[in-house]
Amino acid sequence: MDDKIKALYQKVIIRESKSPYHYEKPDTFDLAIEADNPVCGDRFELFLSLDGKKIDAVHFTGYGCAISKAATSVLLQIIEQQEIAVAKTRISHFLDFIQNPDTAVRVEDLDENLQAFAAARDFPERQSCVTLSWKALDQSV
Amino acid sequence: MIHTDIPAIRDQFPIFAWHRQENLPFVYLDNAATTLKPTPVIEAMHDYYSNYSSNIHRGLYPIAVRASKAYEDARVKVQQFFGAAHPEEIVFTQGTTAGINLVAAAFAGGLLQPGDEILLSPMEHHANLVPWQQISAHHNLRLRFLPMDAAGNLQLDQLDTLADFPIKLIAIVHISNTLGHINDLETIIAWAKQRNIRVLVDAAQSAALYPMDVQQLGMDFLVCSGHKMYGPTGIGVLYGKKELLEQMPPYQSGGDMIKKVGLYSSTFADIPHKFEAGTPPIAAAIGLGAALDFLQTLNRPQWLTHLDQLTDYTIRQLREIPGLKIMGEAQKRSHIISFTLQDIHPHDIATFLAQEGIAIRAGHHCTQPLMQHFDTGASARASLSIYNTQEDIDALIQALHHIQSFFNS
Repeated sequence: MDDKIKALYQKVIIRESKSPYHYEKPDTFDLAIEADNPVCGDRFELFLSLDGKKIDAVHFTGYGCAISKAATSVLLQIIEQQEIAVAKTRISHFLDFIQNPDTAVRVEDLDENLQAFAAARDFPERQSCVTLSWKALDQSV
Repeated sequence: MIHTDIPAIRDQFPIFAWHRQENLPFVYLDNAATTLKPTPVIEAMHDYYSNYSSNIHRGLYPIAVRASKAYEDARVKVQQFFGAAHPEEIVFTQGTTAGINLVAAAFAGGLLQPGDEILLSPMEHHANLVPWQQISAHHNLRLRFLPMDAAGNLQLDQLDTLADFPIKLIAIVHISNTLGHINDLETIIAWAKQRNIRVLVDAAQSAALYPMDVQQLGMDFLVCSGHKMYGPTGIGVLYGKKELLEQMPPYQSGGDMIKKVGLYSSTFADIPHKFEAGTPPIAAAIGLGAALDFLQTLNRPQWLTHLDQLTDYTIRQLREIPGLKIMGEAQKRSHIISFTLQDIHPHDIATFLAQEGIAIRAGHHCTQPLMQHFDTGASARASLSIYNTQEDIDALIQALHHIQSFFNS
């Protein structure tokens, strides 16, 4: 099995996809966001609890591949307890890193959990898996 | 188990030589998405573009005459391939989807009455579902669905329970692109004929290798795609019974499909030209003709036997993998196999296989209602064709074992 593929699926992605963070629908929430990729059938629902301008908690449920599930799980951990404006900046940073070949964002600028997705840059056909929930959240909040 | 000369067949598909030359592994198991293209098809298209590229019909110079003849010769080849009574019963389309949209608009939209019903199955490709939803909404038609059991087999013994509904058309897939199940067309068409119900057969997955005599089977419409028959993309076939095509109003309008045009009204060409507005995909039609010539060189029953054996082998090997589940249990199956492997998502499986040079497809395969029937979002799908070998299958199986141990470690 070659190194590129191992790098893509390194421990973080396997771990996060097998035991995703806050993987349940909460009893109460303020905002539900659908992250849907009709091409491949991946579909998550994200549930946000807000406290003023702060994201108090996020949960999610749904169906998707290891990469999209892990990317959603890590997203939740990145934005929880953050001001919305800060969360938005972090999201746009990460999206730029994954999607923009000329990005100014360096791997070491990213949280350790996010660095695991760097290998997705070598797999253009899997970038939509990484960005699915991130884009949905970016557009909805 | 190998009866047929696979090396000789592989030699006719230059894509294998290219991969060898580049020293890249290449196991192609995505034939339900599109088949590979043999040299005669590529050469026929190359010849047209290189030597007699011109528009068809009405051109008076030699290469235009040659192009028109090649295009119409391709139509005759299609007619003969499917055993149609007349060449004008063959309409060139962009593909299966375009053919179904044509019949939906011109037959269902043009000839059916509000309240009339169209019978489909839950295993249809979106191409044989969404156009009917759209036309039904616009013309107050109603959709009804054949019952299907848990294993994905249509329950044709229950056809008679539908006898009292005003069904005017059955649109049914011959081979499920997801499950590989082969539907019993004879039973469906016989039942429909007794009730004067028209039948459209989606033959996208079967047209290449399964014998399909439209007069013997008696369907009213048949649609298929050139690129799943070793031909080019962008070309497909609609077969329609002459009297039906003649009754149906035009679908798309414009150049080439007219008889006489005035400022405020026009009259239309005879079939098939009535349904071929604009410049058609000439090179692709010629390429499809070459693909049919290629198919005629094969002993198709013998190849089907070989593929049945290779499919049996594949299924036996897949079943040896713990946690692997094959979708559906076909009463009669083709060479398409969908499966899931524990909770490893099919896209992850496909990405790993791609790294080993093995091409499969993963996802809902444009059959979302069928996936819901099986309570899953996606499956991995391996689909076989004439150039596949036992070594290809062994490579797939070995890679699946690797994937499983990687995800379980």
